[in-house]
Amino acid sequence: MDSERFIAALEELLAAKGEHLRRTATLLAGGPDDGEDLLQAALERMFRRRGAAITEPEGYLRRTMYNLAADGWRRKQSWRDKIPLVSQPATAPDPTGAVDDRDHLMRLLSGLPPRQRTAIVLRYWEDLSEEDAARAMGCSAGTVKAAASRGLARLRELSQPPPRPSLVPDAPARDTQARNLS
Amino acid sequence: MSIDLERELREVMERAPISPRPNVVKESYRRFRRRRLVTRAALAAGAAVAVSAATVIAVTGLPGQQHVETTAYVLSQMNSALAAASGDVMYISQDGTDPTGSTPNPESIQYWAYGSQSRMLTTYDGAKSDVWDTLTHVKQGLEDSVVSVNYHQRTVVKDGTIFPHVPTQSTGGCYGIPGGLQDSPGNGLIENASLLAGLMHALVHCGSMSAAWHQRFDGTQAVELTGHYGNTTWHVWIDEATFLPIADGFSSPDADQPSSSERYAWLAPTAAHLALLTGPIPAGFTVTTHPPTVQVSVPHPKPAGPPALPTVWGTGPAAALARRMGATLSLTGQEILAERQVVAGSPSVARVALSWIYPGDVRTQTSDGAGKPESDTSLITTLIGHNRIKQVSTVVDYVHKQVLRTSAGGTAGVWNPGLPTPPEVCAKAAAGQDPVGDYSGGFSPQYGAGDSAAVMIRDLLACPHISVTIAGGQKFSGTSAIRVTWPRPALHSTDTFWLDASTYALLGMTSATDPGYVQHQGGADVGPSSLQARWLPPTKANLALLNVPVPPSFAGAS
Repeated sequence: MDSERFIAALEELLAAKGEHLRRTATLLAGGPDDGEDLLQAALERMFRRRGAAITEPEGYLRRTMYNLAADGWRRKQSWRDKIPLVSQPATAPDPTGAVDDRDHLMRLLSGLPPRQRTAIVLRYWEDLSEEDAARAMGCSAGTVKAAASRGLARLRELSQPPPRPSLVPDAPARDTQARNLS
Repeated sequence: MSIDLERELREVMERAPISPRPNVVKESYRRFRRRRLVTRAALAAGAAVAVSAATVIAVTGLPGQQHVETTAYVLSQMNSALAAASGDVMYISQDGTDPTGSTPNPESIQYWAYGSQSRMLTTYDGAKSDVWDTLTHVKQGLEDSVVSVNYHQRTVVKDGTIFPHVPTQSTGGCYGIPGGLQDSPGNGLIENASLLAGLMHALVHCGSMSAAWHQRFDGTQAVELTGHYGNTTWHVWIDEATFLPIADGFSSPDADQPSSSERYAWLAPTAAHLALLTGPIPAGFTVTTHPPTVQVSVPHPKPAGPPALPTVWGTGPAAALARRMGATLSLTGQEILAERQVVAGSPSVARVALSWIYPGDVRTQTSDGAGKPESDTSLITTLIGHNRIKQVSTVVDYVHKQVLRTSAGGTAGVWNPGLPTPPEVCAKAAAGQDPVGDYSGGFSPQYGAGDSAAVMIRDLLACPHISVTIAGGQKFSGTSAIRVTWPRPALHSTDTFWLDASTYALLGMTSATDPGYVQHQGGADVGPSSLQARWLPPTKANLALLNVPVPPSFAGAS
């Protein structure tokens, strides 16, 4: 397939399935910007491999994203967590507590180790069976089960409400730095 | 509880925000093209990997003689030959077959290099209409211009890269090994005979090798070198008569590195051969010109002046102190801020962090509560044009003994939301919120050591409805200090800031929860935290503190 047709085929795919693919990438990568980077990295790999027969571009793109995410792609996240002065993706303030909770859970999800996050996204967003998720991640079903289980346990642990007045929207000043250091 | 969490998770995932980028497919293709271009040097560098100075090759069977040749001899002969060939036009063709088999490759490449110019002609799938012609011209090592002609789309794209410093090839490590150059946006170097020879010197220690003399390659008697680096196997054939490379190839189980092979030819610089370097730009093609991208570099020394600070308003001693701090910040903004922060608490929370902050450059070392090193991180931020920045990070992970290097770009609006205005600071402080959070997220490449916390204190002091206590005649680590205490009952804590009584620069801060109140984070207790600050002039020795040493034994160190 020549370049132009390959590009057109991928653009057609994104036009049809782009929102779902982007959301998947966002969840796998932990944020919308990193999600777009992940999608772009996966597309780039497809260009490298276009000489090979890619019979199902969508499946190939998904598997590439899963693999990149599970392999700790963009492990640079670690420096964001460790450097107090580096920005986190900004989220607009929302007046409702429900949105706060969702944002909180989303942040917790993005903080999980790559394989746990990938396992959870594949199981609960992509609705893959453990066997299918294992094939996509290139590991055993037991590994997927364990990663998803550990991830959920960690989310459950972290999502316990802190013993703090609920009207206080922000952490104390030095608590911000403490969080960034952890 | 489990079902609730899973349900919430699904709801969260349904609503996860996305931020679609326009033309993500074409941008991916452009990046793919760009990477393919710079991979050229890595391919050539493979020729050197196969050479190991430590290996001794026994050679027998030459008519009338028997001697021992070492790889050092091979390398020496090859370098001499390449030096002599530096005035030739180097021609490389890649036919898509590996040296041990016939793995089809979708690309067929021809490459010419002479002096500061190169040309790469790529044909995909054997289709004559799907051709890319890429012309590169390096101008005094500081800028390269790249013209890419796409015959299928009938387009011409002109762009390039600007290098703040003349790029030089690495003299150490395994530069050029797959994964090295490929992640660079451009290398500012033309792959020619001298670069090839230099890369050989740099790479000679990277692999193990075996060699076989008196092999035949396309009818030429050659030395065949076979080297291994990681999971890549390299083969190089060297003409036994001229000691110039005549072919190389590599194979790797890594799917991203398909097997390929290259043939070398060394052409006399005749007019006909030089004309091969200037591909035509056909009439009627759509021409697009992009401004050149700017290569990231460490911005030392920093020539930029201090940023403009918001005006302090208000009256009274607090506002007066704020004004004095503002004057100091204009000076300290150009210095290196060295911080030592200690967070007490449960083992999972307790941390010690040392940071050095300079405009565009941050280094942070962290260790756990017992002093065991965890990480050493460098983040360099560079403005690369209007409202766009590039960030390069190096993370030395002492826990897993590995090194991670990443780069990312973005708009300054995303990465650098800017400093909150004083009214915003006051509104948040009055509501019991934490303005430091905003500053922490507002790292500005220009601001750097302007120190977010000091700016916050300055603005805080000027807020009309914030109650702080100012006490002079204090001591902080032996320095005469002014203490500013800010009780925060809503957060069950008290923050205390210490300012140098002479310069009004920030010396340190502490944050302590009120007696009887236990602060938790993720199930762990959080104790008090403290921070000590020092301001260092940007001397060469102090700037060196921003560099992260990389233990050579760590994975990814090379």
